[in-house]
Amino acid sequence: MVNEVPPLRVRVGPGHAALEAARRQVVGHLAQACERGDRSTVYAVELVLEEWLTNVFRHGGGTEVTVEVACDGRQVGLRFTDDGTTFDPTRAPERVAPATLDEAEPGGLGLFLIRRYSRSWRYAREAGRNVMQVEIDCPAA
Amino acid sequence: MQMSVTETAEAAVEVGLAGRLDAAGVDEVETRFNAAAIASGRHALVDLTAVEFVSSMGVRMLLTAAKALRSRQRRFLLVVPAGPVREMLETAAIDTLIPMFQARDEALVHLLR
Repeated sequence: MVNEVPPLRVRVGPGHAALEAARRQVVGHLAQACERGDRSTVYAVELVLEEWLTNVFRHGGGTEVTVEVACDGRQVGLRFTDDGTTFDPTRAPERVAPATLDEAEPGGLGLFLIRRYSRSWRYAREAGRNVMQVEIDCPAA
Repeated sequence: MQMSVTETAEAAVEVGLAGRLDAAGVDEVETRFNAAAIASGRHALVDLTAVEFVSSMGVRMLLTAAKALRSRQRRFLLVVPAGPVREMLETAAIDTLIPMFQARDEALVHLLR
């Protein structure tokens, strides 16, 4: 987690409206706190946010996620704490890319995208909660 | 999420999407999208030029439609200009499963030849 800028802290419940409100807060924070964050950086942050929150609420039985966002100019740090069932995404099996459309199974792409759009991701179970931390690179100066 | 449907040619339908193809956008548009792209029984050209964001839920919607059309011997094409949306679809290797074109005219030539 990067610490030079005080992190934004947002609590998010299930539902599209709550997720959209959180997304807007996070994007607004990046515009202020992350000078080098370009459109690709924002896309990566939005993607990780959407994929992880959707995963927690749809599959993890979570009812609330606390999202913390910070940027030190070189990286955006995201920290998610949720009350869902224990789930370590870093131990989930790697998605195997389908060779043909017939083999393609819709779904299962969310964790793959988080992994690919992150410089690093870490998981811990702390005080009965899932804590997932992701770092996303800003473009080089 | 906005959607437009154009009868491009006798054998094809063109569906233009605009906005965010995330979980909320998919919930909003999927029924109409499937009705336009799949139930028409034609080839489908789906234009994502005005789509600013696609998540895994959006990919699922597109893949489901592409598979349904393939099982009916119909083609499913995407128009996706360079940018973060195209990069995401390439990262997910969707370009190896669904033909993707930078511009609508390019896709039309491919569809109608």
